[in-house]
Amino acid sequence: MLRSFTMYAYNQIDQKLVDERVEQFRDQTDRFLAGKLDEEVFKQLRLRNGLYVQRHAPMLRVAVPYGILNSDQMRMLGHIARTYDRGYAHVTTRQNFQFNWPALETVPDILAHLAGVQMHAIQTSGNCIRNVTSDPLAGVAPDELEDPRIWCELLRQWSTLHPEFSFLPRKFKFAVTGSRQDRVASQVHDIGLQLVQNGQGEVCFKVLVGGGMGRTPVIGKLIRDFLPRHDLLSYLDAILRVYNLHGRRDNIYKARIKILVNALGIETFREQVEAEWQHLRESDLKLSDQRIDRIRESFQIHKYKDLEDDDGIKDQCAQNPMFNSWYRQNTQAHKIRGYRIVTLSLKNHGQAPGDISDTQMEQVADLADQYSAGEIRTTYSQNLILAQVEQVELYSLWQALTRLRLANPNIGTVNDVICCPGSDFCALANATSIDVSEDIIRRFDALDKLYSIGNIRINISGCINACGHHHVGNIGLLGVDKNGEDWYQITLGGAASNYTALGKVLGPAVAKRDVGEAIEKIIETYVDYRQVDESFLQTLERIGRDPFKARVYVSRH
Amino acid sequence: MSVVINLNEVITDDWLETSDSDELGSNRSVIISLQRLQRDWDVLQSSDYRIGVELEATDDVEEIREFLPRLDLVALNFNVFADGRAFSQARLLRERLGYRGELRARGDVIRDQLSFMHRCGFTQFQLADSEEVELALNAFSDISDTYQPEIKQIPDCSATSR
Repeated sequence: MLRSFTMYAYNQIDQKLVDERVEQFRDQTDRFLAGKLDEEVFKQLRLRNGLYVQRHAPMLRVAVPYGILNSDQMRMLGHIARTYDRGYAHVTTRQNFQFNWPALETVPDILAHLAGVQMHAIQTSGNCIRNVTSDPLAGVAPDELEDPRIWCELLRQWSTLHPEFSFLPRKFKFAVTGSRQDRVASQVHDIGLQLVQNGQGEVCFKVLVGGGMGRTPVIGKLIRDFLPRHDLLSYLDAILRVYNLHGRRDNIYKARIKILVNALGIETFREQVEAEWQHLRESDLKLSDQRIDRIRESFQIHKYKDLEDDDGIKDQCAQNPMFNSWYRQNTQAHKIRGYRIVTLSLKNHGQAPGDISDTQMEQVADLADQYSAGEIRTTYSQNLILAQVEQVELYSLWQALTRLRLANPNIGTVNDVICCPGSDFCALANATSIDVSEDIIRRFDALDKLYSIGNIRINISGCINACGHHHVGNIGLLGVDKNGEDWYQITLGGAASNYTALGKVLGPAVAKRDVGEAIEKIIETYVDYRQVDESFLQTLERIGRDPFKARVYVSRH
Repeated sequence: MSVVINLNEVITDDWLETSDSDELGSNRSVIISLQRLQRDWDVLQSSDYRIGVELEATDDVEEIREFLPRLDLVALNFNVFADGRAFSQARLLRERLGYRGELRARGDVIRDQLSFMHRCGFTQFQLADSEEVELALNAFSDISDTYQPEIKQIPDCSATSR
């Protein structure tokens, strides 16, 4: 029987924990509002429940563990958007959902609604182990070695309300992949876990440590090439303990694990972790086969039909150029014959990248039930995926998505911008990001132009905290404040996949009014110089930055 | 004087915190610094004082390994509540060094961290002045089940009187 996992289903303990966590936070909120809880204390407690206080209002970040939702959960998010917010939500690069306008006093009720559908906002913020991200194609990718979600769920449980590691020097982010193609940016996380095979053919974890964005971007370093799977949690405990005890706490900008790893050097850091691990390895943290099996058995199963590949698609593509574009750009191969993976684009003009309305959420939930085993995935690039679509249903799904404005055939193109909320919402940001992405999307709106350029990743961050991951954009934009005006620093050459690189600054920052034109010049330069089938990064590597620089800076004044 | 909770009840604190320059007086239970412990060890070890030592977040718990059999209390200081190093120090004392005496959290000890503290091996909680005792006593039952292995041989808070 052809099958794959869909969702982890809570047991009584899981459910009780999130229910009690809601009531704990309700009590904390009540005490704060009654003036009985110190503001700084409440801040740290609310952050660990996903609640920020932003420029205009609180922002609530809801966890989507390893980026997978069922349709009931998606409907609930739509309901929350309509009832407690302004009718929309935002998908983040770490696969979570954000609400931008909830009232502080309603947040306990929102969390209670979420708990009702096995969701929470635990540890989506604060200096603790954050919600774990993973491959949005988990379980369906043709290049997958092993489904990473079993391990992600073990990590979710291990990290949830961890008594020792809930007050770390700084936030701590995991990404886990089980495929050959890295779709999780594992090299720019505090810990990146890659399932790999060792020389004996056993599946192990390759462990990277000390990657990250922010003002000091660093690519993660290899700390262990083949970690036995049963030792995963004890080894992570060892890393976290070394970090908790020795990570800097005197300067928020030097507190991430990457700074500690760089200061010690990876060899010394590895030795310290190994020394710690020797004490922990045979402890209760060692994973038994039974424990792993229990988690595996808690995942619901999707059974596939035995289908042939659908020949009708060729005709549909030939007859309908829009369907053809969408099929080529927004769908991809599934590991099971007769199925296809569909990406729903959250990148349209007139809409912030990653935003989705309440009605779209509810209708996506219905489409998931109808076409895709009732599940929806969120992606690093701030889109959604229906991963279990029968090929014969693609045309009707495309029609439905077109009506919902979720079928823009731009996945992977210049218009598939990764973007933080910027200073329109975020109290930390120096500059806007949404209007800049809007400008870019409008300039490249014509599909023939978009496709002639090919796939280029653009990332925009409204400040040095780099939530839009500008360091790893093929083209990166970083918002900076110059005497109260929004300016943007441009970087070229970043990437966050199997090949991961940090972009290099092209030249002086440009004013907002000139950013769109600068991006156009960069892309024109690429198109003019590229050789057959050369990617943007390959052309850049071959010709260097100077030709780009010449066009961008000469053309202006 | 600040309130001390032992597991899940308020106790009269008979421990006296003593600075490095103070003479040890008539109170027979004294909490001293690591520096004083090392300095005066020859005298202290054969005295009839009950000895407690206070560690800062920057101290390496290995430094007190040799003294542990003679210690009745170790106090770990939370300079600010958000500095989580003492959670790791506590676990190391319990699980690595096998310490079985009283382990006290002091400093910026707040109600909403008590459960984490207990789960790392603390048995006594010297509350920050801002904390309400009744609220603090209820803190241990906020969350019933946990995902992490429990530390062995530490008395349960929630199982006591309340």
